[in-house]
Amino acid sequence: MATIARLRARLGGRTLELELLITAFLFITICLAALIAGAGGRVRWVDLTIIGAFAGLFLTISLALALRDWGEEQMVLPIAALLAGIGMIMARRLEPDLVQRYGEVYGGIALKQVIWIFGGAVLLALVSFVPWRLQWLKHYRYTWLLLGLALVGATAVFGVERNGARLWLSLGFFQLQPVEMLKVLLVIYLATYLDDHRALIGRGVYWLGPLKLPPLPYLAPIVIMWGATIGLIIVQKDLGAALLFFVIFLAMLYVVSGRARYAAAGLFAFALGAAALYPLFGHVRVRLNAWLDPWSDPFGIGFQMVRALHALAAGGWAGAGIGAGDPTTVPESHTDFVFVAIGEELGLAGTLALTACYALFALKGYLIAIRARDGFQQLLAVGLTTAIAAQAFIIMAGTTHLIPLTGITLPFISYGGSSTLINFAMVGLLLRISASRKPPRTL
Amino acid sequence: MKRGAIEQRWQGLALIAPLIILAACTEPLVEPRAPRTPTAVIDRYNAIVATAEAGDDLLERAKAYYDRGNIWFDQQNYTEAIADYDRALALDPSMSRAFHNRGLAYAMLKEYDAALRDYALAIRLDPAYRRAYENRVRLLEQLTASTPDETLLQQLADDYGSLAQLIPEAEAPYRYRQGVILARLGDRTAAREAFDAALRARPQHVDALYERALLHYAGGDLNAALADLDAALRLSPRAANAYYVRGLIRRAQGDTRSAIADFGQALLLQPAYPEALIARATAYAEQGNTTAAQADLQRLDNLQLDPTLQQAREALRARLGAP
Amino acid sequence: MPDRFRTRIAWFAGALGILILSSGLMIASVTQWRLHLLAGLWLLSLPARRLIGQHGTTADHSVRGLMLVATLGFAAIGLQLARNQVTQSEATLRAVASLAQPVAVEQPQPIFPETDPAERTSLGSARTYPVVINVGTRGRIVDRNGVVLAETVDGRRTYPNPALGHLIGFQSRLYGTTGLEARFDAQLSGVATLSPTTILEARLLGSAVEQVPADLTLTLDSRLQAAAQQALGERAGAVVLLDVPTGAILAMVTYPRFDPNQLVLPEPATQADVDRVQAAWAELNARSDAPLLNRATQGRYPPGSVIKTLTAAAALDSGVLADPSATVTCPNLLPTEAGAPPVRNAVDNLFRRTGDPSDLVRVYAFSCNTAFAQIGLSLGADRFLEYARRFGLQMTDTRAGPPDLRDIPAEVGTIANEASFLQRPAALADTAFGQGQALVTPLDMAQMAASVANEGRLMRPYLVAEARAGERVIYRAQPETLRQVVSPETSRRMLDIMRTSVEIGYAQPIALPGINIGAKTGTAETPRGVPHSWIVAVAPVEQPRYAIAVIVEYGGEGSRSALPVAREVLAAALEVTP
Repeated sequence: MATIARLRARLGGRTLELELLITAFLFITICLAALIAGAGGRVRWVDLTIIGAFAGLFLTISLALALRDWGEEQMVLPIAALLAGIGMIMARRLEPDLVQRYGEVYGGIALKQVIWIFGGAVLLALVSFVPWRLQWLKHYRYTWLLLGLALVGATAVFGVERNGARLWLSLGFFQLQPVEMLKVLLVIYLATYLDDHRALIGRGVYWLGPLKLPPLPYLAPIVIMWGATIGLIIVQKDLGAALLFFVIFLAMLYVVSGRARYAAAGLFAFALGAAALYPLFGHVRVRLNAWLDPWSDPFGIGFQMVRALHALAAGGWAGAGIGAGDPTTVPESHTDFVFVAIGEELGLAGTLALTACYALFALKGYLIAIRARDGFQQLLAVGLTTAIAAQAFIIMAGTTHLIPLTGITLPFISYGGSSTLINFAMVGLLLRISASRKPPRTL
Repeated sequence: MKRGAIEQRWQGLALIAPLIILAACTEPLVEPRAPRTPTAVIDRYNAIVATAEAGDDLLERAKAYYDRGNIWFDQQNYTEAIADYDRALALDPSMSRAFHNRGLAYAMLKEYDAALRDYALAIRLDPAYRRAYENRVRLLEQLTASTPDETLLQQLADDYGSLAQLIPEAEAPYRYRQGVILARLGDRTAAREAFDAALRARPQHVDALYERALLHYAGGDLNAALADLDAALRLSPRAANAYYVRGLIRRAQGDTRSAIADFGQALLLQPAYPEALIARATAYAEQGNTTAAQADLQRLDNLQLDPTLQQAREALRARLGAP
Repeated sequence: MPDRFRTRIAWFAGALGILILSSGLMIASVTQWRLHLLAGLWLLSLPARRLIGQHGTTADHSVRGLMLVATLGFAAIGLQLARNQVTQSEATLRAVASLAQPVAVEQPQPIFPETDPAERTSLGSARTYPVVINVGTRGRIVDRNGVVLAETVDGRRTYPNPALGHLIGFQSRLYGTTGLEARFDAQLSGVATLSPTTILEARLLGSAVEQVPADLTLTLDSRLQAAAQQALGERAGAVVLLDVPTGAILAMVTYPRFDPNQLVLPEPATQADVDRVQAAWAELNARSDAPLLNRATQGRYPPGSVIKTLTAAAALDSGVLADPSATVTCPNLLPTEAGAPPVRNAVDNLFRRTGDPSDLVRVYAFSCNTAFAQIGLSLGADRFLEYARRFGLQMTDTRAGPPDLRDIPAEVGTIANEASFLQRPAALADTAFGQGQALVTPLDMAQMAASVANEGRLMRPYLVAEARAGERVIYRAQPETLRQVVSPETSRRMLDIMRTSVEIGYAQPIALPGINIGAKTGTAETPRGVPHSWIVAVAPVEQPRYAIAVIVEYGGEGSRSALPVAREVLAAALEVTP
């Protein structure tokens, strides 16, 4: 009896997550129903199975968290589930149009995305429930560093080229995008490094002529990170990843040092570097010109942006309705431009809601950081949150013509295996950090 | 202890769930769908047309139909696009762009006569309408590729001439193209003039030099042909076919040794060059060097030959004696 | 405090004002809008910064700063979305529609590729002209006396003698060109009268070409061909008649055969014609007796006793037997090696006919297997093989070269599947008298007889004497000695031996009044039990002009089926009445 009462108490403490999850499932189910109704109205077992399994999987995780009673943050998981569900719906909605317009290679992306999401959820569960200690991340710092370097090296040597950029590692059954892996490894390593050198704040400031330079433990990584990201742009032609990595680094540096001007100087240096590359590298120039005025070459470099703007405009207030638009006229509508596809079919209402979701996720993530138990976990939480929030911002702002477009996925929603798996793993880490009542042995 | 057991059970379930789902997915997740026209975008343009219709500005109404026609075109619904262009042109028959776009739509529907008629109307309204010339040129190139119709070829040559006048910075390439078409028509004098014009605009236009050399060659002026080829080869020392043609001319002049050197250079640059192999073998045979000729003949066995080249090879075989 | 509050309100209002006003900026002023957005957000951040407060650690403070940045950032996206999807949406839609150049057309191609001339590997438009050489005016094919064997009548290829399909082949629109029609296509079409460079020039410049179709004159003699055809009748088999001094083929018959006319489509052709031709072709291919196979050059048969000619010539030429009268025995049984069955004669007690001991002349005349097995063993594998090679027989596993006959498709005869086979005494003995693995064509055997008769010289067999375009001879076959197979001395001795075979031996029935003929019959065992019937013959022995080889499939003993055929043909050739 006492056990049942305790269980009930535990479940009662986690009703918010449950309610939010159920709301998210309702939304996804309605979207799916609209999609099925639009396509002829035949309800099939496979749809019911998938939606049931999707709900079951996340509810199971939620219930397990409740039973374990470590007091994790309750809004992060439902937001991730909602976004992943939208991604699942979009892949299913875009597949037939992509196949019709661009050919059979796009066949099966809906099923694959479902599998990735389920795989991600399992990964999240593993990170949350398998007994391990967050401190391990700190202890094995050089392992992570070496792993990251090995990934970069392997991509440079064995990588597969697509669209002129060598960003993929072929693993046979699927193509790994090492940049996604690298993102997590970078956060972990930076958290370790910056936490170790936290004590040096305010010391060792020295002057270079009239310039006051930060202490070497800060200056060195700033210079190295700046060089690495510029190198990333030059060698791998991956502007998006470069910007993302640099933003993650600056955010963590800002948290450790408390000096906004380091971050501002870093951003300025990045802009300076990009500006210096402008005349030298075609891909940088194309991106910038397409951003400055896509209408000057609407069938060349501005093609994608003009198509995206047209799709967003066609969406209007309320959108065409799911399945009723023609979002595949925009190239890459299932990956980088999935936000535009949503904008055309769900309208301003849908895109604003999505923006709010990401904003909420960011705020919750930073709250987790503020409540974190120690400096390392705080930095880790900041890094992970920034990674997801900044990535969402970079691609949303890019596809809506706010900042120059850099190819990168929209977290949880874009089609893609590596990105989905890694993002769920990151949510798992965040949940683990947020657990306020975890037993000391699991620290 | 107990809690650990519960945890383990949940973990097991979480692992098994995706496997169950995969097992359930025996049917495809997404059913193939018949092509359909998305209407949402067109709805927005319908609204714009309705607003224009409410007013009484004819030009504004024409513009609205024209805009919607473009969107239909964009969605590859060419019949609707043509209908909207028709409405726009009924309201404002001076819209050269509407004529042009309708021509393009007809071309997409493979109604080439109608397309050519509309292009002609667009060009009559706006004789400097570069895009219309460009699209007509593209269509004519496509139409004359398989069946060389003289009228169409003449039209094509004229269009290249017009484009050369319209776009001075592109005069050389357009004159060159005009020359090629005229040569195809058999009008050597006009073709000569076109190549001359191309070379005046850009003296280092190697293609025009090469083609003019062919004209000289066909007309029997072998020295002029050699001069043009020499000029082209100075600029393009890796152009295998120019060496080959120069070899042919030198052979015709009786200079078999130089001819063999030229064929050899062509083959050095492009080892799988059946014409050069046949020509060199013939030249060797004329020199009496049967061994070298036989060697070239054997190299031909590994190459794909079209019917004409097969005949040339047979002629070579017959010349080398053995059947 | 109220003052500060008022300032914040002012900032907030200012920010909102900037954003609302600028959201109406035209889409072309997007940079301006971005600057206004930045300014507005900056203004918004000023009052918002107060919300962060100063409590907590530095790090907490910074994280709250990040929260503010994130909020403002996503707010910026929201404002951008509002502009894209609502305030500027109609302008965007109109702008896209007014781009006026519909997108579906292929991307504007770079019409003028500015390649560096130095990088060019090919110049010009790469245009070529098809060079049409009219197939309607195709040359005729005639025999050595001018009898027409193939000609084009009203655009249709016709073959007046329908029994020559295996030589002349056919030119069919449906099934291609075969036989002489294919081999001498360049001459018949006239391509051979052109210089290759003339064709290349025409291809490059579109100039005209004028070819003259050539007529082919064959070595074939229609009269002898008809005689051979008549003599073989409707029995499966082949006849080859060679001109001994030159190697020219005078007659070459195969049976079953096909009529090439039934494979040629008339011009213009109706569907019925096509159906008829297709049916004929299907029927020819479906028949089990292979009518499309030219047995004279492509049929490979065991040689039987005719190969004893080769063995005898080799023995004399190499000196293993000093002269035709050298002593040879003809026992009933000849053991060769342990475990192998002994060699046995076709009839028992043959030595009663040959004499005991006998000589080479008589064992050849009475075709004594045991005698030739002994001769083969005395020769040894290497020497035997060397002579087989000289006579043009090769090894299956190491085919050394193409067949001697070039004018029509032919097969190369083989003496054994591999050289090691003959190293076994039993195998060598078998091969020497005509069993074992040897597979030869009738042409091979005719060539063997002809070279023995031609002072030991093996000539290249040929079928086309010349090709003549108008008055110009564009091809003429020259008799070509391939090699000296045996010495002239051996040749003379062999002719004597062969003549004796006709005078006293099994080949007696071939005798013609007033003519000396040399011959050797052969009976080749077959798996079916009934043997193939063979004969080779040369005549006249004093000055050999004709060499003939005949095979009648499953014809029984050599003297019974093949011999009368050879006799009739030789009689026709020598113009005597049998």
